[in-house]
Amino acid sequence: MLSLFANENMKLYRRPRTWILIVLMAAIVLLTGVLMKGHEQPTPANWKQALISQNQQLTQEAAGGGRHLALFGHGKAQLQVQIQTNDYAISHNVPPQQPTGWSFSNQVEQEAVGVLLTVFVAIIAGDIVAGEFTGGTIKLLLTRAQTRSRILLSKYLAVLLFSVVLMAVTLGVSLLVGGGLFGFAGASAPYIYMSATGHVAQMDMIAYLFANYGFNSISLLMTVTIAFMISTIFRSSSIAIALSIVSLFIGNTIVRVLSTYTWDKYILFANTNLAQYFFNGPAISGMTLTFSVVVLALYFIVMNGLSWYIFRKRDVALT
Amino acid sequence: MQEQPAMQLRGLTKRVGNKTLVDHLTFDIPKGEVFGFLGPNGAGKTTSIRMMVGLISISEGQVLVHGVDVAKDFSKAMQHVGCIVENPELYKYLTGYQNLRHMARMTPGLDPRRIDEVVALVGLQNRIHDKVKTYSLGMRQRLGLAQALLHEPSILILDEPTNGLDPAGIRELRDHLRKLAREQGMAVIVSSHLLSEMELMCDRVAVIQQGKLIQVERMGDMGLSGDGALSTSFEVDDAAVAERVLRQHFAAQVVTSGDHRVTLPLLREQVPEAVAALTGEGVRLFEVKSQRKTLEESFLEMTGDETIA
Repeated sequence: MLSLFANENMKLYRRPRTWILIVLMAAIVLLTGVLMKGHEQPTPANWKQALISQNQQLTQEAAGGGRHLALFGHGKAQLQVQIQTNDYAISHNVPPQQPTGWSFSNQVEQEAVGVLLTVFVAIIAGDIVAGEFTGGTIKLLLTRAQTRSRILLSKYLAVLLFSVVLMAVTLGVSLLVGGGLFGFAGASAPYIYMSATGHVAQMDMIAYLFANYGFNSISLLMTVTIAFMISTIFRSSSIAIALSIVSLFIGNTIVRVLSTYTWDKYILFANTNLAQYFFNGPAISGMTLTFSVVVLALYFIVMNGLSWYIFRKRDVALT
Repeated sequence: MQEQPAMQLRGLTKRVGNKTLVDHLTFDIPKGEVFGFLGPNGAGKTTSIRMMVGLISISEGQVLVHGVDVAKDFSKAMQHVGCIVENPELYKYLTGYQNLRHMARMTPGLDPRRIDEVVALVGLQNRIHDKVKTYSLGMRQRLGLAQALLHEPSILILDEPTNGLDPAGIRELRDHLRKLAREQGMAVIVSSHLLSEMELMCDRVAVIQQGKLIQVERMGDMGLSGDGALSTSFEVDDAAVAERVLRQHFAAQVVTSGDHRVTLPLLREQVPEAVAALTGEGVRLFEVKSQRKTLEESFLEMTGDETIA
């Protein structure tokens, strides 16, 4: 089994394509950093004054309960988040707009490369089985003294390892670039947010960064599984890559469009973002973390089971 | 001597929908022989081979490798089998050596030094660390053979092995396969739709047509009567008369092609007799030709066979 895994890794990392993806990812992170640095606004001298007056206004609004607040149940808590974020900036003398290496890493992950990470991994996952069929080399793999289950498992594990590598590279490069450009201070600065229950909560920037990556890796795992399944069933890299990336982009839209149906919450994409149970509350009310974890686990088992079953039964090129 | 055959097919059948592609094939493939699957395109040769190596499922019947059922204990059966199905399949972005290491890793307990052995065996020492995409077809064929031989199988299965090879390559492959069968007692199974190729390569041939086994014959008996008989053709003025005359004199199978040519297998000593019989019956004879050498061998004499430098 280990030697099969070694084989898959050899095939993966001896291909220029894999390295292009990794280098491209690092380059995009670097470019984002350089662009952000270039467009950095000079902190206005009276930033503290501005924050204090903003806070006074916000406090008033929160106390008065303006009209627009009544519309949102959590509106008050959101104001509190802003007030407390400002308070922290004032008392610690750090301008809020000033990025740190840590906040940069977070921002890059959420706004730039988080999706890209999934796309790149889908490219690898979508090709790893289908590519062997296209190249005919599947015949080598399946005519040796190895079971088909082991072959498939070694491929799945190789994709997972690649996901971890790509994620580690992204995190590492973004921290290096962020730290290099904006400084390494601020790891323990608080990230203030509204919890799922509508209360104001906070965690360290560094904890928030890892939480981000953690939640993202769940949806990444599901995309890998989708791409891998389609790759195995259709034996076509392009279909697998295209479908899994499309699902990544329209998944949330589908969930929103179908929100009037009660079974909406059973759709995979309604559950892939586990962060919703920690930050801001779930998109569909009534869903819980346990529910989502169970749904995800079921999808995971069914999709991988399907790949496995079909791969084992497949007649290889009957002509 | 009742030795267990290397491979046994027992009522091997493949059905897809209501079409029967391979229909109850039953025969044994002994050790130390080059065994041919002969049949026209679409006769079911490749389908049979794919079942034998576990690429496609078996609808009915069994394939036994040294008595082990391929469908039941695939891993154990395949330890003895090396194969190239259709083309040699290689990872073009890897070097030849990496391709072999990839294969070696799929066989538990294989000595890595074996890689160098097979490289030397197929004569690829000088190019083995180059990427496969720079290889010629002949070199890919050699590398494919090295892959198939890596785990020292006792059965080697090659599907249409001569496809795309030049005559020198075919000759080389043929010598190689015969050597493997003679010296290592390997059972070599090849498929082809070319009789001429099979004649030169195989000890025994199974003729398959429309999925059914027509016959299994020793190569010497194939279409020819007795040992040393040569395919002899006569160019005459009237083929119909000549055919009748020859049939009266010889028990062999006489084939007429066109109006002026009859062919039959004859021993060298029988040729004057046949000529006398034909002229005695008033048949005008223009040419007598005994086929000794095939076209490809003549070609080989001109080009010679060289190893890749």
